[in-house]
Amino acid sequence: MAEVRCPMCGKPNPPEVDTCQFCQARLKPLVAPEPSESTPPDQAPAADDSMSDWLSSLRDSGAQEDIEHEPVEDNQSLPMSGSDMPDWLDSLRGSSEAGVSAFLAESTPEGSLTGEKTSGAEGEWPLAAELPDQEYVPEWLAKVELEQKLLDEPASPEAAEEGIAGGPEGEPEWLLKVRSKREEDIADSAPLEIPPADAGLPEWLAQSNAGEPLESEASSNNVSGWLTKLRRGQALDETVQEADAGEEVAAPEVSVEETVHIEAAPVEAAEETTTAHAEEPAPEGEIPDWLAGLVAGKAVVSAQENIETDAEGLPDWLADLDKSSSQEPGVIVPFGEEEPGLTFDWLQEQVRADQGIPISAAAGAGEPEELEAEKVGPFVGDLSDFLEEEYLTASETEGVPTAQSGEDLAPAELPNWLEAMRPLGAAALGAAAMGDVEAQIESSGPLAGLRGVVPAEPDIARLMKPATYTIRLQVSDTQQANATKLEGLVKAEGVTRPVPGRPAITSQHVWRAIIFAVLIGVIFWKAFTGSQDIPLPALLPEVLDTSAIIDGLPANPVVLLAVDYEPGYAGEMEATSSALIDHLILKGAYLALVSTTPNGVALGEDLLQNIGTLNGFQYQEISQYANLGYISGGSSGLLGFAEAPRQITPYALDVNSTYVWGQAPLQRVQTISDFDLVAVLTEDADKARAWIEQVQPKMESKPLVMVLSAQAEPMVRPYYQGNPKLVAGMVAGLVGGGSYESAHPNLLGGIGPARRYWDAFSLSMLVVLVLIAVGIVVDLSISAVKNRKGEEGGKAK
Amino acid sequence: MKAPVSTAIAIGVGLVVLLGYFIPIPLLTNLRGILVGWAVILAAVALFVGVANLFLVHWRKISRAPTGGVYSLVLIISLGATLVVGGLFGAASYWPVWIFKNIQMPVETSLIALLAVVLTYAAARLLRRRLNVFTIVFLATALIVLLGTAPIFGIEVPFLYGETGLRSLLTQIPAVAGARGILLGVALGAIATGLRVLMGVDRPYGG
Amino acid sequence: MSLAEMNTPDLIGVLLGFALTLMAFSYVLGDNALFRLTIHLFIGVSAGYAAVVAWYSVVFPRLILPLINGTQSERLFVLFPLALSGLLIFKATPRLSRLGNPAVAYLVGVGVATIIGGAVMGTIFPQVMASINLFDLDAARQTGSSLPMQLVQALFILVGTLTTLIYFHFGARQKLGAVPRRPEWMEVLALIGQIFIAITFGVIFAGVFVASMTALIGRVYFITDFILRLFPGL
Repeated sequence: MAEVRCPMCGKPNPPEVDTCQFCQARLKPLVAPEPSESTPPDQAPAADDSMSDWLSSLRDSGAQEDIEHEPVEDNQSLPMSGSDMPDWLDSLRGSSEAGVSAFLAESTPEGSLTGEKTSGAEGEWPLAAELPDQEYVPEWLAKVELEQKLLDEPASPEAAEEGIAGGPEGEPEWLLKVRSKREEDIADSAPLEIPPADAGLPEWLAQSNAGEPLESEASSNNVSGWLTKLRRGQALDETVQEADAGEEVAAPEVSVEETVHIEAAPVEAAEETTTAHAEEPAPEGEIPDWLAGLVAGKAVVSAQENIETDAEGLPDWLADLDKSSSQEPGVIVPFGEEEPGLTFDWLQEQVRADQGIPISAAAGAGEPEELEAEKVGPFVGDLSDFLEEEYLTASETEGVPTAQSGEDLAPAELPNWLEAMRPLGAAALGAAAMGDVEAQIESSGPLAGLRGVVPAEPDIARLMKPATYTIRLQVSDTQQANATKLEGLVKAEGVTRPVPGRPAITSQHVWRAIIFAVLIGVIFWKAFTGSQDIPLPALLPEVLDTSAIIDGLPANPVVLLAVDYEPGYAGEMEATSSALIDHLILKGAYLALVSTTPNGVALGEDLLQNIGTLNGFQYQEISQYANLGYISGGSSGLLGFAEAPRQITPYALDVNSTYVWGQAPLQRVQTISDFDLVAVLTEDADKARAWIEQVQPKMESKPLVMVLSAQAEPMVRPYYQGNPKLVAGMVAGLVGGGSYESAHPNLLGGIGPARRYWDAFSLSMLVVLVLIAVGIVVDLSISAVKNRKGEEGGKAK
Repeated sequence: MKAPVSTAIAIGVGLVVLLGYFIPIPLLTNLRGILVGWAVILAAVALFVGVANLFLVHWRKISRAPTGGVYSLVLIISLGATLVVGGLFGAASYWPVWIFKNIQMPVETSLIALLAVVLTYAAARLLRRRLNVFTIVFLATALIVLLGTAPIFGIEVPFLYGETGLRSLLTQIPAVAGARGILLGVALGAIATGLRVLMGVDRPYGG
Repeated sequence: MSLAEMNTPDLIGVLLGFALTLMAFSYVLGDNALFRLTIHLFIGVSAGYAAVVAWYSVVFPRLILPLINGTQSERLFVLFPLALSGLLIFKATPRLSRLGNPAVAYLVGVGVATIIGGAVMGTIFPQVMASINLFDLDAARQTGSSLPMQLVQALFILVGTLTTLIYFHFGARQKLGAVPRRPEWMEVLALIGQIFIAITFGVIFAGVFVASMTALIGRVYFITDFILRLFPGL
């Protein structure tokens, strides 16, 4: 036997099952159709070949069920069997052909629910419409058509005969009961309410839920039941949707409302029927009892009534549809809000605020306290100042509207920043779509004349210009101003700002000019007067050692004189070293001049010339001295010179570039240790250290003497004071030169440069100390006065 | 590894020179002498490269901004004149020494002389800029040494001068201790830096 | 000697020196065109003279002359530094600067090894020995100095040296969640070392001051001499 298509979900099912395996919808009617006299069930007319096999099978099974059911009361006769099929049911089959064929032909896929026509024989399932084209017509659709017909055409005896209802004479008892009950319900219930699931159900609904053997009503009751519950869920959605008129849910609103409209179509139709016939009792035969029974159970709910969903008896998919959330029953979940935790809390709060639901009320509506405590806007703290300000301002200005009644929910007001993020076209489209859908009146198909249904024609047939979306953000003036500021800041990063101009004369210039003038004045005074009254310093230990070393040199020693100072210190170095060099000259020493700086060549020449001017004995001949030139490479050059001086400086820098190593006295010099004395003249402690580290270890027992600037002496003294002594003697600064001159007054004609400078040096030292002391006192006084003024100003404030 | 040739040269040559300090083998000593000799030549050529670079920099300044390149022109003229004079007469002859003595020496000596004025001003403002124990110790030491350097109006203050004077005590004991610590620290740092180069960890030669 | 008695080159030289001295002193009033002119003149002369000296002292006698007048072995011996010198010249050009890296590496290798050897043999060993030998009482007896004073002095210098070295040690163990800090005892010793360093730098500052003051005195005396030569009657 062929598979049975479920009328609700359209999925195939085995023929032997009564309910759909997927959606639990009833596949076989509870009322077994009576076999027709003219046409046995298995002998459908040729025109009824399209009747669904499932319907015929249902009839067979229904007949079987009828036999299996408990015996019913007399007044509850079985549903119509084939032989008892009323004429009105037969007429139903015929009248519904034309109405639903067009719609079902397009909407229903082939081979799903169609392809099998119901049996056209009387007594077959009364709720199924018989279609000549063997297409399936859902029963609700059949009812709708019937209702529409009843509304459009006045009741006529023929219609009464062919139509829905028969007279009391021909009506089964169950139908009568339904009608009477319906009339009672309509009379009793002024506001249309959905009674709670457990109580207040119409008898027929309750009886159906209880499972009483209302066989004749079984199918209709079950159908009524699910439809009723469907209405409950739909009404809930409807009322919730009415509460939220926010545009951001326009798109889902459309689809949801479309769904609602689709689902509510029979409900609305039923409602209309109910409203139309509630006040005036329907004439007998005009309103089918089964339809009246359905209408009696409709659910139109106010927004704030608690709805308890009762999944009992509902198909699962309907139960799921009806369930809005896993929240406790009685909690109204506004539109846009899903389970707590699924959406951003901030949006939840905002939506509530916009909807007029107080946050406290919302919190008291059942949300956990933890969620309430954890609700922190995700952007708080992260927002830049202006965005945060905008957000808070929007929240403050919009405020929390007072809770309104459930029926008058204020449309949600979005904050500016959220509003700005929404494409402008979407709202228009939604509204347009909404308007289009709402305004549209279906003109064809079985739903012709209904408003707001899904169009029968495919969208492609509806020529509609595609909507244009704008991507322009909506920004407020404040946001624009802040954005402009930010842009300016970013641009300013790459632009060089002009340095603020400084005054031409500052206190620094004044102080330096005063110090310079005072010092210059003192020195000029001493220079012009030629004063030499102040005694030279006493013989220092290091000077004494140096003098002793030179005195201990053999006659005509070969001395390596390293002129390793910069031209800027020429004045001090000349004053420091003149006496020592003159001492060497007096000893008849052969001076070999070298330097690790290029300037040392000229400095050495100048030094010897000046000394010669002072002592009256000029060193000019190559037999007296040799300027060996420049040793490049720093420490590396010193290492090479110490090991092989001939290779590093092969020629002298005289006019002839004499190879001095081949003639006396340098002929005997092979290594550094062959020199009788190495005297290093330098102002730099690092150069002195390089000579000590590279040359002194190669000198074996020969002395190394340092003639230093005053600034290099502290760092060389550890080499002099250490044991073993790496530096045998040391003459440092003007003090050392003066001490040497004082130890050897016959040197330099008695007027060495140290003697010349000593008086001016002594006086200028005192002046400098006074200047420093005065400057410290003045500076500290000024800062103390400023601090006091600042404190007084602070206290005054 | 980037620049393996340069790294190999640096490490190889460095190891040979370093080992020569501690292993007195004649072959190693001779090889070290040769390598050091070549390094002295390269150092002088490097000085030429520096002078050439200085010339090119100021030449570009003259080419780009004729109005602002007057100083660069002076530099290039003086450089060229010195090169010509020195090239003609030699490094230690009269005229190159004359140029050195009458141009370079006065300018450089004057700049160092100005240092005295700047240092006096800095010493006077020192306590205002940074007032703490170490600044006070630093300034007090400097003043004591300066005060003990020359006699005041010809009078040598007893507690300042002489071998037992404060100045001698400061310069010969705590200053020597500090200087020795600094020298040891500098030497240790130089050893660490040098070993990093010899191991190839640091490659300051563009590797 | 008056200016009239001076020969022309010396006279011009003295005048030039006097003018340049005054132009350099004008920096007291602030940066100005005369000072900049003087500085650029000075830089050009010093760079030129350095190149002249390097050529006559090193390059010509050790690189060029062997190629011209040397034997074949000498010429071969010079080829390697000549090649390295050629590569070093490329350092002056930005695009071909990488070609000079081997020559620079050679210089760096030799220089670094020299510094290491000198630091070990010339500073570390001698200075450590010097610190130890401070407690050599025999040497102190020979110098005739008082033994207690010698010991106190030696101890003082040793403490100063060690605390100065400790001050320059900035390594610290890192603890979770805390800023790395040296141990307390090390902090105390570093503080003492800081005092020794302050004294040392004070002495160095005094030395720099003395050197600059001497240079100023020398310049002023030069000017005075010039004026006195110009006006012998003064």
